Amino acid sequence: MNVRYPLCTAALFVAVILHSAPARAVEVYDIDTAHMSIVFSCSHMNMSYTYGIFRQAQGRFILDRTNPAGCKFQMTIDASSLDTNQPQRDQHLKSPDFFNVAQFPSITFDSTSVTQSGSQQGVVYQVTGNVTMHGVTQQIVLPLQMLGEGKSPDSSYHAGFMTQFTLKRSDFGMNNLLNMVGDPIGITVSFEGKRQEGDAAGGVPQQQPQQQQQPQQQPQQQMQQQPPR
Amino acid sequence: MSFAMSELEWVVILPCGIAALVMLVCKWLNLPARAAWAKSVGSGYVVGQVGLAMRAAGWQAGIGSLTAPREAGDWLPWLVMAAAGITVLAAYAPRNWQRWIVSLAAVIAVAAPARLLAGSVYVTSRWSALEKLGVIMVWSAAFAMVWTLLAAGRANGQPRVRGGLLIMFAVGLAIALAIAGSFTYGELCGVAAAAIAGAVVARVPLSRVLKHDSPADADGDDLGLSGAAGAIAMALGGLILLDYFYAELSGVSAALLVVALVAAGGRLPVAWPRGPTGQIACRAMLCVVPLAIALALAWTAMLAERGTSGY
Repeated sequence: MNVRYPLCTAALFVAVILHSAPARAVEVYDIDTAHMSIVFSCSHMNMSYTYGIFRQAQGRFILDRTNPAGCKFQMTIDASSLDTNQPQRDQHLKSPDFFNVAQFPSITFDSTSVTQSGSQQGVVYQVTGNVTMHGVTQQIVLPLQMLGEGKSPDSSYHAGFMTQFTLKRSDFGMNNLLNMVGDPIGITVSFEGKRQEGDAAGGVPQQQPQQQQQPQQQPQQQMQQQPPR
Repeated sequence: MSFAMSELEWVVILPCGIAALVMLVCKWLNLPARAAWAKSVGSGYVVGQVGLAMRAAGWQAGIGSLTAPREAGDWLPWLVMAAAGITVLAAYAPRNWQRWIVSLAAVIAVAAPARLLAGSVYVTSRWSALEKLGVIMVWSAAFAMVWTLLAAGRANGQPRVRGGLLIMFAVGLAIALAIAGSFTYGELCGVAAAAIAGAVVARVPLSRVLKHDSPADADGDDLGLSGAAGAIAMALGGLILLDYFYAELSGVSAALLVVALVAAGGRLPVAWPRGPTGQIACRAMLCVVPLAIALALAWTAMLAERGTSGY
């Protein structure tokens, strides 16, 4: 029996598969700070919600199209860049009563594992990772939805995400004025990443929270998905 | 109303009660007065601070704030305990140990600002090595000066006046620190004020009612809060430092508050009026005027920041 035909067919099949697959399975993105929003909301005396944003953050992520476990997300937020549209409240939030930014200047997120779940909303990653805030590290799981991707006007390739979740500030040692300022904090993060051309996988630097004291590891906490407010 | 009651229980009643109880037990056991003052104020403050942490997040978090300090303020109980421990050691140690004990106290005075500023953005990124050294030296000198002058305050007599002024100063400091940006530090000052008050009340009026005078107490009332000089210097001095670096207390206010603290309970190196009334008036004025100015500055700064926003 002539074995050439099956071999040729297999070679052709592999060539077709390789040609039709995405150009790169593993892509490294830098977060585009011009298209990034980190919004938080907190109850004030159970009467209203106060909203605020963090103006400055940086981060990177790796997308592995074929193996979601190879994805990695990393973000460092400058805690002193918080803004609730009220300077004196901002000053108070930065004080030792809340964030204590002179001692804990960064809020960091580092993913430790990623799974992908299909849904009607498109690609949604379940990202498990460590949040370090106010010197306390907590493991959380958050749903990260890919909103879209494509070329931007400057021809760079972008991918955008959004996640909404709630965490308790008391879990991070922020226990002051709990009877006035709510414990659950609603958080919405949306960001775009700009693909780094020629950057290999594993290019996400191991960023450590700068000027941060040794954090305390806390037990794993499942994040609840927060309904949009 | 319930909020105010809760604050009263934790900020005032707990530390005051513990300090008074420890003082009465020390007196009952006929312990040296210096050790009794240090233990009483020190334990009242430490229990009060841990109690505040417990009130906010449960007993586990309260104990955790002591056993695994995370924020700079969490180190205050350790500094207070170290200073009180040195005072207790001095009360029992033979005379030829005193030089070593003074050296230990100097180490604590240097360690206090270093520990309270360790890990802050100032140390990790903002200051050069020279600036770090300069700041630590200035604040170490301030801690050493406050401790020394408070301990020497007994030379001026008037233990009740000094005790009363120290309580009033601690309450004023609590208000100043709170309006300068941190309720947390204001509450801790309230705890210190309550611990001092508990010790004073148990030492003087209450012990007389209970008739527990004993030979070992011969200098107890004269000693006044000089016996707790280290604990007071670490608690109140440490809170001034923390509010200056971590909240919004101005440098001028911090300096005025240190002057007021020394004037309230310390030995005054000034031309001293002869009569007791003049002396009391002089001490009160030297304490109240800088305290009032610091309060006014903090209040003015708060109003200026507030503007029309109403926060």
